[in-house]
Amino acid sequence: MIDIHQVRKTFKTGAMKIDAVKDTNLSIQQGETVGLVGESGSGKSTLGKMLSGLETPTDGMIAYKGIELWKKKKFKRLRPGEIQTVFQDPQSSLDPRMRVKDIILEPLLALNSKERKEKGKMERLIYLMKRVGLKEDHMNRYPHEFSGGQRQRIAIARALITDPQFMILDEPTSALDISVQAQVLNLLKELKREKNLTYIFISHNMSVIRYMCDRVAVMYKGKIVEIGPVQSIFQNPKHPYTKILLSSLPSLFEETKEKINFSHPPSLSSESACVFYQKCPLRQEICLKEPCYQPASENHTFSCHLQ
Amino acid sequence: MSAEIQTVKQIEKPITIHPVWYKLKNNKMTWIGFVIIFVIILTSLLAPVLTSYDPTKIYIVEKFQGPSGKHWFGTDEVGRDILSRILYGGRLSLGMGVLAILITAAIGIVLGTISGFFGGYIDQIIMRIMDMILAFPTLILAMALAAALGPSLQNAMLAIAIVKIPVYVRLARSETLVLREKLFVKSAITFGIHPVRIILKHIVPNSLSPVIIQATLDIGDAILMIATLGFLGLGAQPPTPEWGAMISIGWKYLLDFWWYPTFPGIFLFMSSCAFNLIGDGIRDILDPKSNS
Ligand SMILES: Nc1ncnc2c1ncn2[C@@H]1O[C@H](COP(=O)(O)OP(=O)(O)O)[C@@H](O)[C@H]1O
Ligand SMILES: [Mg+2]
Repeated sequence: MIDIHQVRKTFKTGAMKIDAVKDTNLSIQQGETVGLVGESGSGKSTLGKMLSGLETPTDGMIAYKGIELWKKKKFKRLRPGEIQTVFQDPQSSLDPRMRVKDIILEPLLALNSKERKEKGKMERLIYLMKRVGLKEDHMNRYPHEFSGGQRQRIAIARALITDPQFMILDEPTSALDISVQAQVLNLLKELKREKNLTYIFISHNMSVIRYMCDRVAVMYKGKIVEIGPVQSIFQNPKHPYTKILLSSLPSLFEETKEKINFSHPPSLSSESACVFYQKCPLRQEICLKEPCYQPASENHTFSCHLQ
Repeated sequence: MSAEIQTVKQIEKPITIHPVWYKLKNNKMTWIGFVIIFVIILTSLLAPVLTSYDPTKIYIVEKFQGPSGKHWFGTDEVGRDILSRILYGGRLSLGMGVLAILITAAIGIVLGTISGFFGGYIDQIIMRIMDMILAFPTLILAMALAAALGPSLQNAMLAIAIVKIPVYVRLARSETLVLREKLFVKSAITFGIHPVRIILKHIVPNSLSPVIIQATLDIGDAILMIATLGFLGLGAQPPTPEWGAMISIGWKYLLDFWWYPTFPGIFLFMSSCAFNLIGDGIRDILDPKSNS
């Protein structure tokens, strides 16, 4: 459904150049939930934004259903509303001066008038609001009257109003309380099954990823360092960074700290080095060369020399 | 789930009707401002009822009469009733001041939001033009423009509207830059909604408060500027009753006939102050940072 091919995004801030996403390849099948996991700043949101039209790829190709999304730096929508995003912060994702009703119906403004009428019917709005756990009489209220979880439900209803096929969920529950988190995650899971949706699910929380996703891609400094089925990654992580994220070996860091001989100090000319070189407890001389992807098992690949 | 479904009403409230009235009630100075403006507007609208004198009719026999029961504020050098001229003049002075600011605020919002939202060349061009306007002292530029356009009340108003635009463009632009990063604007972009619609639906309504505050504060200033241009002969032309023009002529007679420039001056001063009081009050109400 989605094909991401050698995509790169470089941000220039003054004289600094940051590769937020580096030569990334990823394909997503219809009906899948693919997780993107990695610490803050690893480029997960940037990758998501290139799928929704908010950031222009510096290089590479992104195709949705076989059709390129970006042509000559212009974003082409196959059909408006087919790809929808739910962002992390429900505080800022809803316009404080709009009523819930208008917020949910807003994406329809990009559709033609026939579709807009059809999808903007009152019964449909009410059905959708109830489906995401809101009440009918919430529709005339303003966002500030709702809790974080409810606001996220409003954002989900808004994303669903256009009948999307693909949704980018950028840390949709990170800002919520644990108990509310679980409810929203369950809602997203149910909706996916009901409407046969495809998700890309961004998170830095491994247990949320495990609960939600079929496959997971681990990102570090803009690069996917390991990708595979959730089962396989959790049971048999290969990349040291994945292992640290999983904390399956909490002692890994401590133990190896002493073992690492820093005979391979953080080199400044680390252009060609492994992205994880600076932080890797296991680094060796060979790591100054960028590792290739190698298979661990079926559909499970990683990028590290030391296996 | 049910516990969460209950609406949480106490979470940080933005502007709703209730607190506004609460704050307004407790702000005496703002009320004084409102009352003064209300009285001045009402009396100038009711001028034909309140006074039987024609503000432009010359009656040379009664020139330079001091304040009396017949002419409360006296008469001028050609025998016109000064009170009547002040009341009719209020329509022009206040009306033109308000109109100048409405025009400038409207243009400023349009240019500022476009500049901030699209950035790039459009932004560069708009902001360089604004810098050019800002490079001159406001009043001197207004005088030059008014003189170039030809001395008349409308042109004076237009000149003031032009010199005040940069303030509003900058204000609207900086608000837009903040709003552009908000997720509700980003979301709207991902929906594929037309940029003009995004500006009208999200950017303008959310950047209106500081513009309204600035506008109310500026009305007093605009009234003074119109009077100043009138004083310099660049505004309303005689015999049009306008406060600045009246002061300008009356000024020469201050020592012998004190009432002539004094009464229009008092009205000018009071209305300018009153708009500033209202502006301050509105700032307190709309600006969440000034909560005391
Ligand atoms: N608009 C931007 N301008 C400059 N740098 C940016 C911009 N957006 C993101 N970045 C940088 O790109 C990197 C990745 O950011 P992001 O995709 O938000 O990471 P994540 O979502 O994984 O936390 C960060 O180092 C961030 O500072
Ligand atoms: Mg992010």
